[in-house]
Amino acid sequence: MRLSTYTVLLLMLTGFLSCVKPYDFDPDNFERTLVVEGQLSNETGPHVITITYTYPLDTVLNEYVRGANVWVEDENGDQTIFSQSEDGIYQSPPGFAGKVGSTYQLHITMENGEEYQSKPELLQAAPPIATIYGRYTEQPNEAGEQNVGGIQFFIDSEETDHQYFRYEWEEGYKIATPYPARYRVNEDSTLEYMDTSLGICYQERFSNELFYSTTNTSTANQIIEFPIRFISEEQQQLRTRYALLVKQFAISESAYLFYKQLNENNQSGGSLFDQQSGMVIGNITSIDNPNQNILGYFEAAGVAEKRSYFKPGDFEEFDFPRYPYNCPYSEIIETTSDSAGYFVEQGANVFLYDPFLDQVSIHTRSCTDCSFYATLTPPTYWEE
Amino acid sequence: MKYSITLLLFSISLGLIAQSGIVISESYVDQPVDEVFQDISEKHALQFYYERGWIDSLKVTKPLTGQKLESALDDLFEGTTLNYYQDDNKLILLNNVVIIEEPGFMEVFTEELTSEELSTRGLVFSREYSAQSSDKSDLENYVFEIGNRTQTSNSGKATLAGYVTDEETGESIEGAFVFVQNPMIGTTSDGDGFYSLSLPHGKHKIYIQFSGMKTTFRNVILFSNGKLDISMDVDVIALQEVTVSADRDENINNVQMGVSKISTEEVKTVPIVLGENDILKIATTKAGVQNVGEGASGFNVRGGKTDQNLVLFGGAPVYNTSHFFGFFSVFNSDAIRNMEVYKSSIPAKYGGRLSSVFDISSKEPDKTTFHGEGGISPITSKLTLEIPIIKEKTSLLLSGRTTYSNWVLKRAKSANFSENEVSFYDIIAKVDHQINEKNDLTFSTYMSSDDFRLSSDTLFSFSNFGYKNFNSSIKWDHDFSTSLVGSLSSTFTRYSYAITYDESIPNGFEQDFDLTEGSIAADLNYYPSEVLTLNAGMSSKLYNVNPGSKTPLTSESIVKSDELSHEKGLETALYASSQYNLNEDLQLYAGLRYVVFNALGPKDVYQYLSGSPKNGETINDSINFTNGAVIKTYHGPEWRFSARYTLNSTSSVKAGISRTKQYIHSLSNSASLSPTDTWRLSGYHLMPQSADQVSLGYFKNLFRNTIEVSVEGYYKWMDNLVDFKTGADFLLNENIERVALQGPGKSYGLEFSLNKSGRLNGWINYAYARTFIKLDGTAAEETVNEGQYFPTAYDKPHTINLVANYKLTRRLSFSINSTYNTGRPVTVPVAGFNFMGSQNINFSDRNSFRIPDYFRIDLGINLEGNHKIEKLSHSFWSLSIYNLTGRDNPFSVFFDVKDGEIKGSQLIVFGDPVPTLSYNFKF
Repeated sequence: MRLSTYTVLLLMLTGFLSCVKPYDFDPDNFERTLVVEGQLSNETGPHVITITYTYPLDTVLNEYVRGANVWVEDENGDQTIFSQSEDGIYQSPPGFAGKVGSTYQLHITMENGEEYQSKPELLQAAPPIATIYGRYTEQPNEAGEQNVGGIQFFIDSEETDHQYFRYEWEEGYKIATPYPARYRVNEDSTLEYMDTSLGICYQERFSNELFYSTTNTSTANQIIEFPIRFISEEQQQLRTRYALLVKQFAISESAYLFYKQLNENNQSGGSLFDQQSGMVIGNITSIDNPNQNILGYFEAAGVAEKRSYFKPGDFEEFDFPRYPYNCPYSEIIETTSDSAGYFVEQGANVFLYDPFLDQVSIHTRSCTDCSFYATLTPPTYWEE
Repeated sequence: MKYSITLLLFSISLGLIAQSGIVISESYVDQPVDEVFQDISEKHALQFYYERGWIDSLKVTKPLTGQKLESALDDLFEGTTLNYYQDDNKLILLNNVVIIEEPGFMEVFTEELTSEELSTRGLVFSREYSAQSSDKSDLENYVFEIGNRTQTSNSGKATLAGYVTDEETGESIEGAFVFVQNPMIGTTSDGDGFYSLSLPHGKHKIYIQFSGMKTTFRNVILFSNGKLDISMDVDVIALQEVTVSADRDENINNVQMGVSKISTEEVKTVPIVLGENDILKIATTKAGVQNVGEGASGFNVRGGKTDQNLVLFGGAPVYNTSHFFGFFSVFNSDAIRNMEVYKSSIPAKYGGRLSSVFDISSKEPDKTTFHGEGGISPITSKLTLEIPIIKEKTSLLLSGRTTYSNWVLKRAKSANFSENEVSFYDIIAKVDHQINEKNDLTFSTYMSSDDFRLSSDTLFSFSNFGYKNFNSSIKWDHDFSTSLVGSLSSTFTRYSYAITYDESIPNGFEQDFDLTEGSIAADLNYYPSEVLTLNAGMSSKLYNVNPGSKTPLTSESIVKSDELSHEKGLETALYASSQYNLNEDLQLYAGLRYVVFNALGPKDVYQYLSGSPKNGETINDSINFTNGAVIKTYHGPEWRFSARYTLNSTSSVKAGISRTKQYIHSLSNSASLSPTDTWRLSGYHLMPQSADQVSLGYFKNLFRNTIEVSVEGYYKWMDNLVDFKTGADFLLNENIERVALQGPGKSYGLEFSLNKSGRLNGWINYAYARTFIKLDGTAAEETVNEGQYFPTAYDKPHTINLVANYKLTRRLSFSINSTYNTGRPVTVPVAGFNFMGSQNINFSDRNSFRIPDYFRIDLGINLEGNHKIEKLSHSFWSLSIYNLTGRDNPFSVFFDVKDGEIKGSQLIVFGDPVPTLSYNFKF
């Protein structure tokens, strides 16, 4: 059973009696361990290998490993050197892409001469994603105390013989303020029309969770209704236009098991039905000391991706999300252009200007401008 | 009966026996003796004198034609207590009276004087003893004549046996002390209330004591083996009276130790949570029995895992003893008579689990009057009925309990979860049929069911979940003689659960698990003398386990069906034990149990490279076993020895050594029993678990036995304990040997306890207990904590329990219950690391950290309705406050990653005082 389910159940029956409180952990049992992360796909590079050490739980400071020699070798002995781009991050040449059907092995030689290598990983082709679609559901909120409505996005893959998959998503969405700022107030109090409004912005987010699935337990040779992303009615993504890109990686069985265990370690719900936690060993080993535990995984996987666009009207039952700031019509300031500068200095913006009447309409910054928390340029892929 | 006394005097005065010379001319077969006598009387002018009641059940079985009257009568009266005296044309029937000729009569008397206590004194003039009563209802003054007077001898011994019952309810009383004072010969009644005493022929005053009952006695003249049933009255003022009860003597006199008897009466004096008295919860307030936390199922007995307890209900095992994950036990305490918990010195007749036996007996329904009992609390309501069907022969016990927590849930603050559903119920039914004095038939059945529906958080896991216990047993008790009793029984048990997921139609599935076991058993108890008791028997048990199957929920579902191959096993046991009192001070118990376990096909078994970890890459062969083929046989003896040496009248020392083995294991890598545990049988790879325990204890009674004190120490060596590789997944896992690890364990501890009876009663105990396991496999993936011994997840070194009950008046009582224990070990993160855009947790050694200590006080107040006997129903209110101080006792401490960040949390189940008011009634 999924672990947090028990917690939810417990909270539910004993209702007002049970609770989850933060627990401050005294991290005096810190153990420093080498961590290697690397993914190589058939996409054009640069591909990245990251080498770090674990950190104590009361810090988030990564300790990077500098000056290592890192290369990937294929089954023919062809080596591709990953050079250090910044501390602990090693990049392949930009044009380098893995080939489907090739086997790759990661090698690392540390500054002090210690040598590490991964098991050879076969890069297998990924089947395309057939559809990305969303449906209204209710899920518990973060505190686990009540349900919120929202859109759960799913993917279906095309038919394939490959059985193990990992997913990543990237989302982009358009933010439209209710009164997009259109005019810049110059020092001489003249108003200048801006080609790009400050009130239309774009934001992008990337998955930071492990998603994995298998067709192993299914009769169909495809992934169906795999839940990838949930956007609640309280979030902004689905106010105007939303783009969701899903990447499907065809991973090996051992990579699948590694991610699954890692994820289960990260998801203990505190119940007594939790799985036994422990160190999760990947496919990296030390050549000199086979008993040394090394965290992380070097993955070689084919990738397929698909991007779909959505708007709020696409979904039944879904409530149109509110704009996060309060922007009442009654608070619009209408004044003459020469006094606009005063309001702009206070942080407001001009969204309408009638040069014939010399009348400007002004609203607060949060109702006119999104550029202070999002970007004005749409992502390169953006389609209206 | 006055009639017979007159006869006696009359016949002695005659002092002569004459022969009639009558030869019977007819066969009389199948005619009642009464008619035969009338016929003979008419034909031969012979006058018969007798009381009709003596012979109204007698019939002529063999033809009497041609026999002399005397030999015909001898035949007729064979096996009865009847004989006769004949004088001329009078034939006087005698019931249990011998006409003794003059010289012999004097001899008997003189011999009696010289042979002191063991003589057959008073055989003739039993009625002359003082304070005698001829009123049979005046039980204590009436003189019971047992056996046939003609079989008595001066130096002989006879067995007196019978049942001790509660006068009011008719239920048998277990543990009543039945004894004669001089010489001191005594015994305690067994689970059926049966006792057997071997006494010299002659007159005895038999005392019967039991706590909570009025001590009573019977005057008995024992001629030969015979039966005496004794009923006891409830002692309404027991608290003021000082009684030496059998139970209390048992503390120092019983050869066994590590045994706790818990009666339902005790349950009522302990404060309750959520309105339910719970007999299993009481067990956890005794030294050496722990559970993992609030809302955790199962028990850890002396460092044993939760699957190592044999919980028997009506003799059949119960696999899941919890409703709602451990908040309630599955037994409705109203229908329970008592429970015995064996932590060590497990008798040889029990086997199959490593750590303990919880033997729960349901009430024996009253065979004469209708009774009922019930209760209403905020969460549950329950009703128990005792229904006589055929008066004094057959009766029925019906008990049911259900929850209306759905109703409560919908009104609770967190109404956002109102679409969730929780329900459970349990039912007990028992029919008790007394075929005759020597034969008893009992049928009992039990079922419990739990169902949950979750509307939230279900997108990724499951939406419906339910588990069920079903068990049924039939038992035939037969008394072969007063010293040999036996039983034949058969049991059937099924435990199953099912998980369904219906939130996503293409991924909808149902997954289930079920386990059935059927057994037959025969058991014999032989009481050859008051110093020796023998028990022997055999049992055979067939297991069939469906370790899991998954099926698509609808035709649109793409979920692949998966069914693991069933596991079958046959566990056959032969056992014999004897309890022997070498002398007054030394008592010995020796038992031997020999078990053969066969793992049976069909099954495909993989073999792995030796010296390599077992996984998919190290397979080197596979063997196919056909249906019924023996995959592997495990067998071996289990010995159970214990001894008691009495130091003086108030103290004793006891020692025990025992071995236990277990062939069925719950595969759970969690600390408590979870409803999704799959039980698997020992087989080709999974070896039986075994444990050897030595224990030593000192027992002392103080202040006229009102205080019992004991110290017990034990050390246990265990082997082949089952644990798991990190991250092991055993649901729907065909090759469990690839994730299971087996290793040795050890546990040891010291338990101090003090029990007090009286107006202020209760117990306090302290236990120091440690338990460790070692997992040192051939490869890194099979080795945990560098292959060293490490504490198990239920290792709690210090535990203190206090249960105290104070009766302010007869109607009002207060009780408190307090518990302290060391926090249990958990595996905590040693570091964080970044991987794939998220923080991750790294763990190292298992169980290296402890959650904060646990401490709780509960308070209970019981108010009983008035005590008028004539009242139609009796009722009592109980108010309890659980966790009076509102201490935040963490149930667990856990770490997870949310939005890419590591967070530490603690889960507190009852962080505030929880008051509960419940109403109980009895009629």
